[in-house]
Amino acid sequence: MALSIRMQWLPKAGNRDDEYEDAAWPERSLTAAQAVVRCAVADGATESAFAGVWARQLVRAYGCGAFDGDGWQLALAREQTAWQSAVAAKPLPWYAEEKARSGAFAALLGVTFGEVSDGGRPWQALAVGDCALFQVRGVALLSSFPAADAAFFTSRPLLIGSAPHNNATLTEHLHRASGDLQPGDRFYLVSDALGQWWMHSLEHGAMPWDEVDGALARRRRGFGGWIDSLRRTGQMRNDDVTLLRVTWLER
Amino acid sequence: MPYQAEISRSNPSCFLFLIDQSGSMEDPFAGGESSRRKADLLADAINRLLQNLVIKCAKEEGIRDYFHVGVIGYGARVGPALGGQLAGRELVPISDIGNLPARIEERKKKVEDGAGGLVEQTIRFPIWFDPVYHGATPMCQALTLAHDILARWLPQHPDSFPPIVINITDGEATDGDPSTAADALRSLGASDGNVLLFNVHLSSKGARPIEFPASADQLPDQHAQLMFELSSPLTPYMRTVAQQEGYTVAEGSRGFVFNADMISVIKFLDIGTRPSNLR
Repeated sequence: MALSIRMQWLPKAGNRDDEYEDAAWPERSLTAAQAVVRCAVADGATESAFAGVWARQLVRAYGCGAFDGDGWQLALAREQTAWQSAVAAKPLPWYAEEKARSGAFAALLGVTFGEVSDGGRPWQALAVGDCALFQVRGVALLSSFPAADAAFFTSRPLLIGSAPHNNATLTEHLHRASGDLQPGDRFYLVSDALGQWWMHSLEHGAMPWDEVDGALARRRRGFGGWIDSLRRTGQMRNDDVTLLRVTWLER
Repeated sequence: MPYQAEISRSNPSCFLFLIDQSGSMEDPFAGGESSRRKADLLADAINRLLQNLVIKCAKEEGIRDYFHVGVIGYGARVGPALGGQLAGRELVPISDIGNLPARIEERKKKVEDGAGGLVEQTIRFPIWFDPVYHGATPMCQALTLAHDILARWLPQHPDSFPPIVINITDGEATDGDPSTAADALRSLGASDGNVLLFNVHLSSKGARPIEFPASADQLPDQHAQLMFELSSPLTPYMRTVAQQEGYTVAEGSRGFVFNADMISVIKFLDIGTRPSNLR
C-alpha cells in the first residue's frame, strides 16, 4: 500500500534553472513504501539571498523527521547554524554580505503520512508562510491548508528566517492540521503561485485538480506547457512553481 | 490596472534621482540634527537610497538588473552626477551602481544577536556621493533634463513598470516655477502608467517630519506646499505596503516627505516575495 509521489518544478519565466529557489521533498518522483512518509515543499523568498539553499535545507530536515513533534525549534536552530556556516565559507561583496546579515527566508509546508490504521492513513501537516496543501476526495476538495482563499497569497508573508532574530513571532505563525488519507484520495502540495491559481480557480466554480491531473497525464508539453500557458494568459503570477502530488496506490 | 507591470531583468524599470547641489544646501538642517548641513543630509539620503536599491536587487550570485539608475545633480551645473567610472553616464544598470561606488567605508552598527541583545559589528558602507553645495537651484532645468532622459528610455521599455523620479531638494528653485517642467515629466508614460515624480524636501525650518501626506494642510510654508503639489500620488500597491509598514496613508497620499527620508519607497516596489519579518 505504497504512496505514489509525483514531483514537478519550474523556475520563474526568464530565470535559469539554477535560479529556482523553491524546494521539494522528495526531490524527485518516486513510490514510497515506508510505513511513515514525509513530504515537504518550501519557497525561498526572492528578496533574500541564499534562499534556495535555505529552502532545500528546510525540506530535507522535514523529510528526515527533524521537525517531528516538539523538537522542531532545536532542529531549526541546527539548520540556521548550518546555513550560516555555508554562507560564511567564502568572502562576499558588500551587498551580498548585507543580504547574508539579514538572512534568507522561506515558506515551508510539510505533511507526514502515518502507518495504515483502520483502512486509512492519518496525516499531520505543519506550515509557515504561503505554501499550501489540498486534499481531494472523489470530486470534492476535502482539505485546504493553510490557505482559506486566494487572498491568503500576498507578496509579503511571514516566513522562516535563517537568522534567529527574524523569528521572534514564528511560533504564533506556525500552523498545524491533521486528517485521514483514504484510498483514492489525492494530495497536492504547492508553492504560492500554483496555490493562488488553485484558489482563484476554485472561487470561479472550477475543479482545479482536474486541470492539474490533466497536465500531469499529458506526455508532451505536460506540466511545463500548462504552466507556460497560465503565465502567458495572466492566470498565474510569474514565480517559481513546485508541485508534489501524492496518491495512494491500492494493491 | 496601472502600476502592476512585472519588474524583472527582461523588463527592468528605472530610477532617476535629482539631487540639489545648490549653495543653499550649505544651510543647517532643522529636522532635529541642527549641527548638520542640508547637503550632508542629502548626501546621506542619496547614498542610502542607492545602497538600499542595490541590496533589494542583490542575490548570492550578484546584482540582478531590475532597474536602470541615473543621478542628476543641479547647482552650479546640471548634469549626470555619478563619479568615477560612471562619470558622465545618464543611466546605468543597478549592478554597475553596486559594483562601482566611489569608495567603501567601514562603519560600526549595532545588530540583534538573536538572543534579545545587541552586538556591534563592522559593516562595509558604500559611498557614491559627498556633500556638494555651490551655485543656484536650477530645478526646472533638472526636471527638463529628467524628462529628456526618460523620453529616450521609455520607447525602449514600453511595457516597464513606470520610471520613478526622486527629487531631493530644499525646495527653492531659482530658475522659475518648476510646475510646468514637473507636469511634463509626470505626463510621460509607459503602457503601465505615467512616470512617478516623488519629492524629498529637506528644510531649514524646524518643523516635524511629514511622510506621504494626502493634503498640503500641515506643511509649514509655500516651498513645501509647492513640492507636495508637484508629487505624484502613491500607487494603490504602494499605499497597501506603506500601511503594512506602519505609515498613515490615505487615498490621495503623495510621494512626498518633508524633513524625512524616502528609503521606504524602495520597500514599496514588488520584485517578488518580500517576507514581512524582513526588516
